[in-house]
Amino acid sequence: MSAFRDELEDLRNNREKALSQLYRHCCPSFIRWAIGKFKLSEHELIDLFHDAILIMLKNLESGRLSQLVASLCTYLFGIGKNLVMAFLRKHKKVRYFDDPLLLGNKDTDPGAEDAMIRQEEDEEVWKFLDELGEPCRTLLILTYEKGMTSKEIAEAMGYADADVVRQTRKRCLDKIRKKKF
Amino acid sequence: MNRIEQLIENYFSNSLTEKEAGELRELLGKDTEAAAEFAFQQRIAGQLRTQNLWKTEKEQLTASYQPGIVATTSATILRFPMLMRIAAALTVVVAATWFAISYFGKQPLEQVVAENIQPMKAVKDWGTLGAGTPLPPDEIKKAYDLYDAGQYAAAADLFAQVVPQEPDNLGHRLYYGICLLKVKRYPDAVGTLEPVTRADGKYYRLKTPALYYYGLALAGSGDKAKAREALERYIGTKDDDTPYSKQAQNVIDAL
Repeated sequence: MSAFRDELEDLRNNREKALSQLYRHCCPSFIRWAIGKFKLSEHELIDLFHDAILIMLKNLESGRLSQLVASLCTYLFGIGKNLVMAFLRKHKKVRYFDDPLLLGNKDTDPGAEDAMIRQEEDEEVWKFLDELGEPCRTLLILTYEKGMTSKEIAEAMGYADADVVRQTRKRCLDKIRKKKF
Repeated sequence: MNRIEQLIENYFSNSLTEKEAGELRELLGKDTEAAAEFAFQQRIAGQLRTQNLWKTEKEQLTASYQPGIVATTSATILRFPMLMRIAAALTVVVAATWFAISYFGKQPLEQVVAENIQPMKAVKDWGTLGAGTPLPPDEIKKAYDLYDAGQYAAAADLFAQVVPQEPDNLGHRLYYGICLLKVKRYPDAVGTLEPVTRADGKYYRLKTPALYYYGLALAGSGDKAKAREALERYIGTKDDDTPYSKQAQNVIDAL
């Protein structure tokens, strides 16, 4: 347990060195583990490892990562595994992101004025998202960009359960809604 | 969480089943509030997918640590094409199997020798030489009886007394040598049997079997070259019976 505490202290006090170690030793292990198991490319897995590192750092900053029950590498594997599962779902053949019936009336051509209004609104949404603090930023990225389930997010971000994630996400969405809509 | 919330969550995690997708379409068609919420979340998702909120942070990680990953040997191995990786893995498996068979699958030589010692039946000629022929001393008769009974250690103790008393009797020497083999006193057996391999005259029939036992004794002593030579001579002998050729060959194979 003491070794794990030291690892966490290193990450807090000497982040660059700790991250170097993780990239040198843990990242190749993660790639080796996942490449055979999930048939993803090395490039995709490195990208997912970066995501896992970012989530870990956000958790450290927010205080949700305050103690370890295993090594940091094991902790990263836990996050990475959920990211991989979400990635696989996102890229599977059957998907409903592109379902025209669920996407509304996008197949109809809006007028130039409407399109311009829409674009301006989107830019505002983007601005609000960019300015959104933690944990909302990470939570929304994991939900909508990465496609993780609430349970996976709870595990990755250290929330008690999926319901806490849903409530937190609802508050985050309300923040945006209040600002713009 | 109500049903529509569950379906929306499944939609964004791309875990909707076909049936659920149909259900979601139907519910959104009926419930305008839910449809508005869904559309709002879609816009957020659209923004997050086209823009990348983590772009700057990830670029920093890539610039700082990507070279470290590439430099590691294990990551370099992963760059091999799949076919090369399979070939490399097969090579390792074959080499490991060969190594295991060579080093662990092979019995120790001494064990092979012990398993291939076939004691020949003792020829006790004192009962066939006719009346008047003096019977051998009791310890000789007893030594042969023990030999026939398979009590080689006890027989060897008696032969150890008999052989010096009748040093020219190569018969005693041969059976004494076999007893020594059976109790794994291989160097002693080498010295005892060697004269029998040069037997002639009335003992010439002992010469060929003596080669077999002498070869085993040499193998048990670790003298592989001489053991091979003796055993090959035994197997190659044409002018006599060689009933233990198979056993001799087993030992040659293990040398």
